[in-house]
Amino acid sequence: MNDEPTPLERDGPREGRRRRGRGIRARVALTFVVLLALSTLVSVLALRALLHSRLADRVADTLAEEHEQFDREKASLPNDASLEGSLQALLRENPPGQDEGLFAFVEGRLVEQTFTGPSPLILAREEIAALGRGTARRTGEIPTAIGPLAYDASAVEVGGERGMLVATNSLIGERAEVDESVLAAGLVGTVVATLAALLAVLAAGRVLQPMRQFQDVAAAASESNLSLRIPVTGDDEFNDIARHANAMFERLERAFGVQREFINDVGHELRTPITIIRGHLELMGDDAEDRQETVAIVLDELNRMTRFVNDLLLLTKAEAPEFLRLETIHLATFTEELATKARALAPRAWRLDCAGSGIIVADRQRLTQAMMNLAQNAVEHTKDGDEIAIGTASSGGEARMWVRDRGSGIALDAQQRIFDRFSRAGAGRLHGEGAGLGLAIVRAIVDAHGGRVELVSSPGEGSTFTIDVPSEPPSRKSRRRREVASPSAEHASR
Amino acid sequence: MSRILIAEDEPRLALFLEKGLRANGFTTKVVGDGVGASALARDEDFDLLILDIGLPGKDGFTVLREVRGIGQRLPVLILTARDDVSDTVTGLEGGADDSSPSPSRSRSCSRGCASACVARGARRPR
Repeated sequence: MNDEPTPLERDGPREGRRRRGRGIRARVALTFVVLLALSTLVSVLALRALLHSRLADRVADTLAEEHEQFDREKASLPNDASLEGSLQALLRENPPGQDEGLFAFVEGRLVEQTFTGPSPLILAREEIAALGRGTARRTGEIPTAIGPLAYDASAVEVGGERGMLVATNSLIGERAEVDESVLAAGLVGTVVATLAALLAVLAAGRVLQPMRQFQDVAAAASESNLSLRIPVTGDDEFNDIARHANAMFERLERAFGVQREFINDVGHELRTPITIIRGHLELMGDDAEDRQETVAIVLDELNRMTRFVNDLLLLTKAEAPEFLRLETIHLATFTEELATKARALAPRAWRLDCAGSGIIVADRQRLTQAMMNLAQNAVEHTKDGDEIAIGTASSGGEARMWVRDRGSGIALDAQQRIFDRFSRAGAGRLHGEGAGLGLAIVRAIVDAHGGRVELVSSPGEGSTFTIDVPSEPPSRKSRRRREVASPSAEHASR
Repeated sequence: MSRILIAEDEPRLALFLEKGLRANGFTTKVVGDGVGASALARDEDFDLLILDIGLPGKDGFTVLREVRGIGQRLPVLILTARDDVSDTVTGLEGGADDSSPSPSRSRSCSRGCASACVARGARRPR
């Protein structure tokens, strides 16, 4: 099949689709017709050859029979009987069958003949005469104008006289009968093959029915309607394909939805600072104090936008293989650094639960960023003086890091999507870090390390975010393979 | 003197709304959450409510329903951060008098406020 789109197919998907649909059906039908015609032809020819060969065998048997007959009768002949007389008696008493001929020779001279059908002597006088002059048994066929003439010539001997008895069969009538039967069989075969081909065309249409539905849905999908599904009606291969395709459409639809939502969210998130900047600039008065205030607000909003855009870029980059800059990190000193940096975020009762020991290979800057985002998130869910604890531990090839707060906690339904982009656990714009990308960045960083991030929280009692990363991140290839192997693992870690 | 209640949770948005309206001779009061907005609209006398939809506590639609539910004829101007037509339609169905896509054009916004107040003032004898 030629998959290159022809200019006609490029004109419009609808036209191309119809053409392809009919093409398969026509090809199936044509294949069936050719196969059936070939098999009918071959079987008719084979039947003819078989029947002809059997006919030849039977004829040979009948011809041999004539000699056996003579040998049997020779025993009952009177002693003084001559060869010529005996042969004449044999021929008279045994009338030939259809298309048979019997020729008796004594010393090369034809003494008696009987036959039915066309005369063998007219057809092959010379050859029969030559057989009559022979002395040993010979069998075979003589080609003649109307077909082969089978013969069986054998020597006979009575009272010292020698002669030949030649039996022939022209096979013409028998062959005609065989050919008539074969022709009839061929006719029946042709009719049956034609009917079968018609049924095959219908069956091909039926079999291809789901294919057409598939085409309709796929064409609609390519015209941006992703909500259609192929009807699944059974358990065969087509329905298998349909199920897979439906799953694919579902994922596409979801992905497009997520993308639309994402862009909507980005727009919303950028619009607020833009509105603030524009509003303040429009209302800026002439006095120096007002100007100073406005410039401060505008710069702050611009910084916020910059951070937001950087976060978006980071989330995109996190999917690229060269995202991580790995180095050896001593867990104990790393924990100290984390605690120091966290204290600078906001006035809270910061605690260090415990610091793990040993080294891990990871991206120090990104891991720090992830932990700071968690700390910032904890700050946003607590008030001045509330306790927030940071800790790390290492065990069995894994490093664990956590941020624990006794703040407002996170509602159960919000916990499900807290690591999604723009899923703030509350309405309104958060002040400080964020546009709801902080925890999405945490997950992206942890995913890049081949680790997991988990949340345990109950409203009113606070939350604990835990990051588990392997001491050495698996190579990107094997990590991808694992993701493909268990797509549900991602959900489980949320 | 017309009094305007601004229900908006983003302080910097509320700040310049206030600034612009004051410069045009209105008295303003800012409230940052839906619950407070509902209570103030019920208990105090305002000539206009500028209502953000994405309020914490109670969203703008709920506030609007409550304000209209107790028979308040206070004109309401809805601020939508999104262009969603559905938001606008929901707002107008809920009894909003106008909907302004983001309050950035504060001059036209304050003109809108003025005309809304004047219109109601003419209808409502004081």
